[in-house]
Amino acid sequence: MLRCSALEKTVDTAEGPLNILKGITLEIKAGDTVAITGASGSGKSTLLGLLAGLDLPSSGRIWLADQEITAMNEDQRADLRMRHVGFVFQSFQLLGSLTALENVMLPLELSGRSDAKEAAERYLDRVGLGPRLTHYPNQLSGGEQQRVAIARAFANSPSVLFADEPTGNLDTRTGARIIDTLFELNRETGTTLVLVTHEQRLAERCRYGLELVDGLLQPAQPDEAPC
Amino acid sequence: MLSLRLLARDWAAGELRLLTTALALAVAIVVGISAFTEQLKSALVSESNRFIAADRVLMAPNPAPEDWLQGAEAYGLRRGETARFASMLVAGDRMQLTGVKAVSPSYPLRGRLEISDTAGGPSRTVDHGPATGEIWLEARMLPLLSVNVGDRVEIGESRLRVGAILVKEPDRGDAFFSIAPHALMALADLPATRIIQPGSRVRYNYLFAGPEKGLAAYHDWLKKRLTPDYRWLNLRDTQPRVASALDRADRFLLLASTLGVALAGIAIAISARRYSERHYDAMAVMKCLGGREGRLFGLYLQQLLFIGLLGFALGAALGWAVQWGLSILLESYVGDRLPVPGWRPLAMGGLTAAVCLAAFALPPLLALRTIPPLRVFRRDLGNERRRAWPAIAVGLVSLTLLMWYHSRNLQLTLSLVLGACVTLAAGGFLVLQLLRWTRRRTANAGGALRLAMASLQRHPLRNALQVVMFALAIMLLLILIFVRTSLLKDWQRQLPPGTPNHFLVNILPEQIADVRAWLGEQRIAETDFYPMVRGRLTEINGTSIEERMKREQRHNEVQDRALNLTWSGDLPADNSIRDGSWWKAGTQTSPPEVSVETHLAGELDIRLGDRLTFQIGPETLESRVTSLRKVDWDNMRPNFYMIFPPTVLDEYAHTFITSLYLPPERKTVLNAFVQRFPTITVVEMDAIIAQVRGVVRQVTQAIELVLWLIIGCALLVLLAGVQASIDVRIGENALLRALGAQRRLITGSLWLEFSTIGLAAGVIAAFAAELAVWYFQERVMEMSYAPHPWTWLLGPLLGAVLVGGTGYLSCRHIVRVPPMRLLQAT
Repeated sequence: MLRCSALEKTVDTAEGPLNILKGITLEIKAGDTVAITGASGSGKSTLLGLLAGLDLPSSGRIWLADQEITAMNEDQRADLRMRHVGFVFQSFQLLGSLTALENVMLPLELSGRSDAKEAAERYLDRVGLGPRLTHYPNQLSGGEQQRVAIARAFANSPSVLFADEPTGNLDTRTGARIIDTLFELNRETGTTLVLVTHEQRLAERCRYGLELVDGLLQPAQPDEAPC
Repeated sequence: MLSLRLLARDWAAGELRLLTTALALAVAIVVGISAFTEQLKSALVSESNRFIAADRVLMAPNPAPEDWLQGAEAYGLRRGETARFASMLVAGDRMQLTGVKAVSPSYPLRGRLEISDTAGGPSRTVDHGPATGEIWLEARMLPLLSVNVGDRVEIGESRLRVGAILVKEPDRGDAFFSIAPHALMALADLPATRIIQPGSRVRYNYLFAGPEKGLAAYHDWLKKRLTPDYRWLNLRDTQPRVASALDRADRFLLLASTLGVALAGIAIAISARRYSERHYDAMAVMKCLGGREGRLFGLYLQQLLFIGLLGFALGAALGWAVQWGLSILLESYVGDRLPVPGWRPLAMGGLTAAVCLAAFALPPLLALRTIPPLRVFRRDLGNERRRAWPAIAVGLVSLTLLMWYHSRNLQLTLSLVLGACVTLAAGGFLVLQLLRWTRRRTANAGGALRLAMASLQRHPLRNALQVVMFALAIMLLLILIFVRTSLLKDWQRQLPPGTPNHFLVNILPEQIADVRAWLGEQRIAETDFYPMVRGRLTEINGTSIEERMKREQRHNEVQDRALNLTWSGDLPADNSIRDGSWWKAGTQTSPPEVSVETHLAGELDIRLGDRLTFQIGPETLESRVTSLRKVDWDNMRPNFYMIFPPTVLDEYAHTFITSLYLPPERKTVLNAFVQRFPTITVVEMDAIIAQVRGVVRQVTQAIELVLWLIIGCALLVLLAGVQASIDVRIGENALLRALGAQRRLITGSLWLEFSTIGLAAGVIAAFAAELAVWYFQERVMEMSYAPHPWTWLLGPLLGAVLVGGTGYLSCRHIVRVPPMRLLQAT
């Protein structure tokens, strides 16, 4: 479903070029759940962005759903994202001027689905926000906002779901509930899940664990072994 | 449609109101003002109703050939005819020298006559002159001839019935050098009177009315046939004061619309930029969700198009309402219904909307295209400083073109734009330096002041830009206020209360003492008595005027008519020497000196030292130009093109002229005067003065209304500017409150911060406005410039209060909403 080889990413900084990723090779099969852990600033989000086709590597190749995204232009990558990719972000990334329902409808509308409203209502109902359809993000709690984001991520039936610290902004209890929802939906839909987190509890729920250390991926320590 | 749904959601969130309002105001100003200036032009035409009873008049000393007149019909013109002459009216043993006007049945082509049946009784309006066999007399003639309506009077060999009392006639203002009192009769009755004989002094006026194009084409056709005896008149020739008042109003309104569009353009640019910046995140998220760059940008373009249509519709409606209001003002004065303006103002509004959106709103939106989807992880992506120059250059060029298009004056536009650029760049630099300087000075200041200064210094470039933007808005507003004030002052100065409203002409030298004594008895103050000799300017430096003008392929009315020459030892009041020098008392030169009015000198290319030859009666007089003199033609005193030193014209036949002020209630005194001095001509200017005052009053109201529209635009710029910086301020101040800052401290610091920005903007604006107004008044409005000391108070005060107030009002919810909610929102 998702693979990359010899992936490198270098960025220019005031102190000179900084090599964030130093040749990463990886393969994730359809339906797998993978947690990528690592210290702050280790490049987890950079890797996630590259795998999801939001950015291009300095070198190396990436395939998503059997298509090489490193050979595509931005529009082709956008099409691929629309058909195959869902996102859940640490900071929710909901549009403030849209209601919960409208936020979930957005990817469906962008892909031209005529049943956008019904589908969005179904997913919001599924995450327990049926009574909150017309609320704006600033009228919702952090946990509720993240549930809207999860509903939006699954609404387009993606093959791969990328989640970047999905519980990072939430308290433990709310975080736990969000994790439950995420994995329940993942099971129901058979989506491949790639999670970036520094939370042990969350990483443990995934089948595989990988740790990003000094720009390279290595299997997570045995006590953090895949569940 | 997704774009419409997104637009509706943004609209509901209030994101687009400012942008749409700014656009609507730009369109409203353009539509309203251009429709109104079109109507002003119609009013100018209908003004001629009152003064020449037609749109154009051909003045002739002899009857014009019939084929000339019939030619007019081919151009779709209506025509009429009047003949004016002086004649003795007789009733029983009473006789009265009367100025008679014989009129054709189609007279008047424009305007209406007002008549009554009894002196001082109720009057009614009619749109035709007397029927054949009738004569209409001015009220004061009835006691002079001892007749009433219905009685008969003799004129030449005819006896006509007094049909009505003539109260008002549209071309009465054209009564210069006509003899009062006045009577009106049918042209058809004229031959029977046998008054007109070869050599009789009669002035024939051929009246024409119709569409402007037809008039121009007919004039082109006729021009080739006219001999120098004929004069082709329009309102500008007959009523330069009214024409000049309307012209100036027109120019003022064009300036106002130019500045209004500039202000609205700035507001559009600021609010579009803010709109774009607030959509960076949305763009990144939508790209993340699989939206293609082109498609997403298309969504925003569609929104822009929709905003354009909405803004245009709102603006056109508002503009039409403004135009309607203004035209009601004008109609109440003009009396006739003004034609509904055509589609042109709407087209201009549409063009303005399109250019404003393309030039000011599109560049910030273009920035949205390049927002990378990775911004969802790194919010700093897409925030890096973009090269602003291309957008600024596009905006500036478009603004210049728009202003040029609206002002129709490239010189004015370039000077305004260049002046604004230079002053504002200098102003921006100064503000930056000032902020650096105050950084050290305010470090120890207390509370709100330190907070305000810290906030200003935290974003020096952004704040300097804001100061410059506000300065621009205040400057444009000040310019308009200055020009309006001096325009009104100039008008008031032209015709102050007590302006002479009657001329006494043809006073013989030996009558001066008697006239002076008589006026003294009646306690009527007169201006000086000026001698007057009629003479034609025939040669300049030995070359005949005709030859000289033919060489330059020009024509001047001086070629066609005699000038009034005068002499004076002192430079008359309201005259000023522009070149050369006034003569010293008692000096006599050969050839004698002459002082020439500057405008005429320019027309005929007369320079200092030139030799001028005059034909006075059968004799010629040669003179040398020793001074060029500017004359205030609006002062209603006797004014002259040519002035000689005393004694030069002594030997030529001369009469005197004077002017005096007569309040309306004392008008009947004229009867006694005319009886006492029957040979002296009384020229009544009071009707004209009243008309000019009327025009000025109505146009002043129009100007005030337009000024409010422009103030609205300037406030919009302030609001847009404040809102553009509000997001940052909300975050910072919410944090301060969370850290325990009291509401008063936050409110005080917001006031201080915005007032300081406004104060700085006001100082820059005052300086820039003073410069621009100096240029504008001297070069464009042809008015004299005087500095405005109060600007230096008004500018900064206006800036501090307006920007402070707008800033405070826009930000006050920061201190009302719990900080938690604000922090969540940012």
